[in-house]
Amino acid sequence: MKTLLTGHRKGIVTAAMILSLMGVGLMVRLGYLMLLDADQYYLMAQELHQRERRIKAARGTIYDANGVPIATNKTVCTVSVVHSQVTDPETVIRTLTDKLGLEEAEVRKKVEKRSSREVIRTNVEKDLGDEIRECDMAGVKVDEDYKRYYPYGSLASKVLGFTGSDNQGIIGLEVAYESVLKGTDGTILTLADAAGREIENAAEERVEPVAGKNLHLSLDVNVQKYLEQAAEKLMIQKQAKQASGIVMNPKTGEILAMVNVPEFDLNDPYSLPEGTDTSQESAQDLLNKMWRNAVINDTYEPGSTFKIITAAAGLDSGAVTPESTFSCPGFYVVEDRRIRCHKTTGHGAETFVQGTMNSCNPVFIQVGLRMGVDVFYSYFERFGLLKKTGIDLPGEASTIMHKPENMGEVELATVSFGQSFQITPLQLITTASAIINGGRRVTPHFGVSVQSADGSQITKLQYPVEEGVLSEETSAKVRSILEQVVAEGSGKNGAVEGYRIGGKTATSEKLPRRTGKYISSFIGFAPADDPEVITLMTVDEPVGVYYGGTIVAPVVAEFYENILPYLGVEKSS
Amino acid sequence: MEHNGERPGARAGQNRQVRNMGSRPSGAKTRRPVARKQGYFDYSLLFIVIFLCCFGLVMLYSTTAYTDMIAHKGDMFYTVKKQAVFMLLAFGVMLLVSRIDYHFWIMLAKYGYIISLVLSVAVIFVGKSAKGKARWFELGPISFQPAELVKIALIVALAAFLNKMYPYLKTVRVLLVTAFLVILLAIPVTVNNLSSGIIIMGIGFLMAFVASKQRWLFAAVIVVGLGAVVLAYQTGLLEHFLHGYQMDRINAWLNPTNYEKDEGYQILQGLYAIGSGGLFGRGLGQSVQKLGFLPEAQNDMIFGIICEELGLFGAVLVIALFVMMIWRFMFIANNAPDFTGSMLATGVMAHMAIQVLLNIAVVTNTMPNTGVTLPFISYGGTSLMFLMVEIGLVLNVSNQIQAKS
Repeated sequence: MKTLLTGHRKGIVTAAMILSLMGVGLMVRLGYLMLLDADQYYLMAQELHQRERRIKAARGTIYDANGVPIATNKTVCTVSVVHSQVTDPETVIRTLTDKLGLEEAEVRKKVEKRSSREVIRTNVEKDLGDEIRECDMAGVKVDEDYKRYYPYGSLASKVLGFTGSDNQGIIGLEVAYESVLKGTDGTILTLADAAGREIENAAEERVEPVAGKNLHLSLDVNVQKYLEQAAEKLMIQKQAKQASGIVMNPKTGEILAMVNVPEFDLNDPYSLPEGTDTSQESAQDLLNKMWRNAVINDTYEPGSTFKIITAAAGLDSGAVTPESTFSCPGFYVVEDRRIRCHKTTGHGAETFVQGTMNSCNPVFIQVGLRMGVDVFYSYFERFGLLKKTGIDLPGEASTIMHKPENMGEVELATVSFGQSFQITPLQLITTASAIINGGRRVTPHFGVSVQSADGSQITKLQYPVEEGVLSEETSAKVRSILEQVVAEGSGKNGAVEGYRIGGKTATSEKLPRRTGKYISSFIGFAPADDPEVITLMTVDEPVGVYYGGTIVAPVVAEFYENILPYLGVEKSS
Repeated sequence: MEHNGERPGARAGQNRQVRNMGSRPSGAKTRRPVARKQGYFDYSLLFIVIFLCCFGLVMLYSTTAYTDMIAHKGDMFYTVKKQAVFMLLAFGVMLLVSRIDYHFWIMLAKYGYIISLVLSVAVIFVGKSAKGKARWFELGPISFQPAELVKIALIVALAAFLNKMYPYLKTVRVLLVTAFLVILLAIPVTVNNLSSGIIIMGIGFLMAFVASKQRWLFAAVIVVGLGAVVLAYQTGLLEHFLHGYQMDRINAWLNPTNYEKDEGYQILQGLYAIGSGGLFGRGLGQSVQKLGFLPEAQNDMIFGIICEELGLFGAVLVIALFVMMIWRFMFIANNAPDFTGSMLATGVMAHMAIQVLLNIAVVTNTMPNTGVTLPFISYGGTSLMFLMVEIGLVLNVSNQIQAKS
């Protein structure tokens, strides 16, 4: 038997000491890692563990002039299953198949799929979602979500616009007021395991969403409805491509209605009308066409309605007075061109007022020529025709006009009666408003005020106004002439019993010429001496009789009969 | 004896005992049972082991409850139950072994060495493989790693051999033969399992260090060895000796974020766990890294979860427990009734300490990744069984320490 020597004991102690010291060394290493490096690793770990789930912010409501909500949010439900939590798959499959009206095979596939979360159906009505939730099936989740909802369906569809899957505006006011309506999404940060499963009962970090602000419009649902009916009737009667209309307060620029029929269903904006031929164009192009707001996105040759502007310029510059006399043989020769009047036999001798009532082209050609390119062009610019109106809608088209250095007498002559250049209908009505309201160029707009989500704060929206683009005196003269146009002239179909209406008709031949395609229009305002409302209606490619004075003026008259009492415009004695 | 000259007074009684035991064949037959009855038993060691086992079960439950619930249809106790059964079994075996005179094993040392050598070579050819490496024998439901047996066989064999060579311990030749015995056993193990190879070399190294008089030689070996490895790495020679995956592990160790997706993934996830712990941890059961992020969380990386849940405080306490255990081994080795017993305790101390140090060093990215479990805490039946047998051996050695006067 061998004994243990002191040397051995020393060895054992040395070994134990060295091993223990190494242990202490590891403690130090741990201290370094866990105290000094900890923040870095903790943050990296946090990033790895947390799953971010967004809470949609409620989008602001859009109200009409009467405070009626026309774009709002609806609570909808998303039904999904969490595979690992389902205890009774057969009941789940049966119930979901029944309630949601889906194919059994489809539901079965999703329920039996080994995934962390399988969405069965989105956009389920809240009532149905509640019903499913009340069945209290393990593993079935019903989450609530907001969906944009338009109570009036297709009403003012091209003006309001709609939102996409991220709750973002796609067209119309929803785009223009995106920053106001949107709000700020909130987040829920939850812990998840390595497979992405969220951990139940783990502490959640929650950032509450901030709801978007509400928008109040000048648009009036009732006026809009009347205008839509009128435009639809016109379009159907005349088998036209489309018909549109704008109703505006000429003093403030507030738009009461804006219609482009056919409209589309805002609650289902991605469905083309039934029977659409998709063989020629892609579905997206057709959708873009369907969504297009023609009165601001498209330009046209305004034709005779533009004579309002020529008249204003001519009277203001002194080139013409209401009493100036003209003679119309049925045409007028400018340089080497013979420009015809619409009445080929000629209007004979007439005053300027009569010429306007007759919508006589030779009269306006002469007014234009008397002013000359420079003077006329300066009025064109002063009235604001060269720049955009600044309406609070996206995609406004610019005016297409000759450059002054390229304008000869022929161009000047054609511009004088509304041809050879293009503006939007909105530009026309805005400019006409400035001419009849005493020379104030207002900015056409829908948005009136913005209200905080809780309703506590209201901010009025301000729009630029350009004063004095025309003298009050000239403005009054133009109003009086235009009243006579409706009372006794080419616009007499636009007269409304008991009201003083001013207006002007137009029938513009579409380009290319001689194809028999026209845009007919009528612009009318009331009361003629102190206009409170102005309306422009156009119809694109009417079939059969196409004169604006014949087909559009009576529609506007009928429309006025309905809305003037509603708007509180008093009858004249 | 030089012994007596150095230790007068208090040690005299013990020395007498040793002498008496030494003369057992002639006159101690009647005394031995008496000595046994009065025999010392190292309860401190026993309680440290029991505490570590229980703590291990708690941590194992915390680590595996969530993943088990998902993998085993809501049974949160799946892993823990298996481990608890093994633990009870291993504890019984430990008590049994602690009752068997360790000299019995010393007699079998030669055969143990040969059998483990044969098995560790055989496993290369007929063993069950995982990740391309043959490590297991499958015997019905029990899987068995010869590497575990090799460690205990080596401890016993070296204790026996060095005891036999007792008069020649001063010579360098004994050291060379010892080195040969260790390396012969280490080679087949290292082929499949580098970490076990390292542990075997470490055990041999420390046992030889204690037994030998030529201590300077060991210091020289360490210095030269480390120098050689560093030089080999610097010159790029190391790449020729190691497998590709081993080289990757070294690179991942030096710069884990560059190997985020593959070799460095486990290390980084371990560091995330440790870093998330802070001073007092997230709290027991609150680890996030155990939710499938940290690979081998219940196994090699369980210390990372301990850090995450119990913080620096808990982690230091665990290391302190292991250090206490080392000191118990040291005490038993120092007071063992004979050189063989002392060598056995030294060997077990070396094994436990090296395994703990390797495991924690890997988890804290202090050294390249090798798969080593944390004794008594990591999940694994066979490993636990052999660890407990070793504890049983040492307890028996402690049992034969004569009570101090």
